[in-house]
Amino acid sequence: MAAVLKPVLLGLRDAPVHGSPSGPGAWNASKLGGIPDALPTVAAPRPVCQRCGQPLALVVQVYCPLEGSAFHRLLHVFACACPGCSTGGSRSWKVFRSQCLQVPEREAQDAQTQENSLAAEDWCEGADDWGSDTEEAPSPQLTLDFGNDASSAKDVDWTARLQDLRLQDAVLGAAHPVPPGEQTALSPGLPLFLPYYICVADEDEYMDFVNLDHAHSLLRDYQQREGIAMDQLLSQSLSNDGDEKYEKTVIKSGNQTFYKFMKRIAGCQEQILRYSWSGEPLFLTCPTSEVTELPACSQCGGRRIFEFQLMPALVSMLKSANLGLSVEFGTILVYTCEKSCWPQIIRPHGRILYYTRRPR
Amino acid sequence: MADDTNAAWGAKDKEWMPVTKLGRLVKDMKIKSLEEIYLFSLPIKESEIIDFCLGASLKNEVFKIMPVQKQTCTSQCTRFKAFVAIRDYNGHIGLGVKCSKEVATAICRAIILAKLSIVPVCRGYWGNKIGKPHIVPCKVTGHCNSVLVHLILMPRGTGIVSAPVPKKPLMMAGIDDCYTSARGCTATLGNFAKASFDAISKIYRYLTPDHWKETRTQAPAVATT
Repeated sequence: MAAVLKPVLLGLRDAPVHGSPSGPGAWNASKLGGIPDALPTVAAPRPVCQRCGQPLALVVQVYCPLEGSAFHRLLHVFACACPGCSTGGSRSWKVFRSQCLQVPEREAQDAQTQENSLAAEDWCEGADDWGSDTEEAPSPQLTLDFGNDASSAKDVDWTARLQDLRLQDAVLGAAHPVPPGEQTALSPGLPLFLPYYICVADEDEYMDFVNLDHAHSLLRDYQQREGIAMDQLLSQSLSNDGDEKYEKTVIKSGNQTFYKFMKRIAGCQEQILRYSWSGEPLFLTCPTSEVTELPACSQCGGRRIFEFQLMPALVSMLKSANLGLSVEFGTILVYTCEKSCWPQIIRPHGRILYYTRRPR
Repeated sequence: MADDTNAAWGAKDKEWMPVTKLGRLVKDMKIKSLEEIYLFSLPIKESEIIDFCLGASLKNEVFKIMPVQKQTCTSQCTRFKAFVAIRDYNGHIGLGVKCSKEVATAICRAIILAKLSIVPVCRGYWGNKIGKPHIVPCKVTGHCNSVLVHLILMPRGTGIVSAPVPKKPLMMAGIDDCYTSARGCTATLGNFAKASFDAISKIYRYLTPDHWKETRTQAPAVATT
């Protein structure tokens, strides 16, 4: 066990998503299933499977801005739901990261309590640079305010102005990111899972939950039967010459790693996502060399670190409305670029490494 | 002999979220009994699968708690070792052994291990096939480290002739008449209990004439992946 454990955030399934929300409320939210929402300056990813060529279905969308960073950051995880590819391994999965620079007028992100607390700290640091007060009246309706605020902002960096202009151009399109007509045309071809929001909780809240009532009742029965009390049990140890030894548990089915995994998630079995930036993943089975030797980031050549993993509970939660789609996995580990590199020229998306394991 | 039913404990307000494919199949009722899992020798990794299949008929019993000590550089560290046996009255038995700093935790974890180690028990007849099966169908030997336990079949009415330690698992398995013979350091209770449990679990490995008939079954989805 590491001496200092990084804090882990758990994602739990929340309310279902109704309709098709648009605007910042859509891409600020983490959800599972549904249609991928895109950041205003970035096109929504529409990947296809490497094995069968079918379009991939969105598994999760995670909004996870980094601490001390001025970017909005969105991660999409796609998987192939075809029966042949559901056991295909990492080739049927794709992960995309998209980022865009934060504009201070977007006050509504402060209200995102369902995301990491990192986001709130991030805001305060960025506000000073722009010279605008974060206590100004937050406006939930943002779509039409961009144009006015961009012209009135002081000390605006050149890149930010460029961003603003693009935002302004994109606003007219972003107000209805997928026009209803286009959406219905997409859905027959695009596999979809029923969308739900993801709420975030701290792992520490669930760590100490173990129900010991039954064990206590069994102990009482044992004491009654044998006619000894707890203190007598302890004193036995002193008189014992130690022919019984401590034995390490050997589990005949499964392995020690899996047993530790089960123990760790026992407090909160319905967790679907574990987020721990540059933390340690919780392995399901013994990690192979593929995981221990990670390739470097393809954009900047930097190191890749663990960001989050998808848990097996998600498999039963991914249901589709009509087509009977399903994905199978043990756990998916997502490693991203350590520096979260993002080129100045806006590109649609950046690729990240993904990994999948499946137990029997 | 007082023991607690598993059903009282099993009434958790938390729903079981399966982690393995086998767990998902069991939860969706695609696999209806443990025997289908045993038939294909699929490893059972989640104790909730057993809860789901056997449910209320499972009974736990602690048959020994003993303190064990480990010498550290400063002092002795005392932990408690719990032996828990689990059975249902329909020919399944399991044994779990776990060590922990607290007794209740040791019992709790030992129950989970007992469920993971559940095996079916086959019973047979000594002579004529009259009445219900009451004994092991053949001579079996189980061993654990130095301890060897032989189970020898006897006619009806003999009762279980053995030391107190293997008597419990034998009674729980529903074996009424048996001679036992033990060898090795039987004072080590853990090994003795495990050896007798090993003997019971070996029964089904023996191909008796009633299993000679060929059966064809369809493998569940997980066995083919």
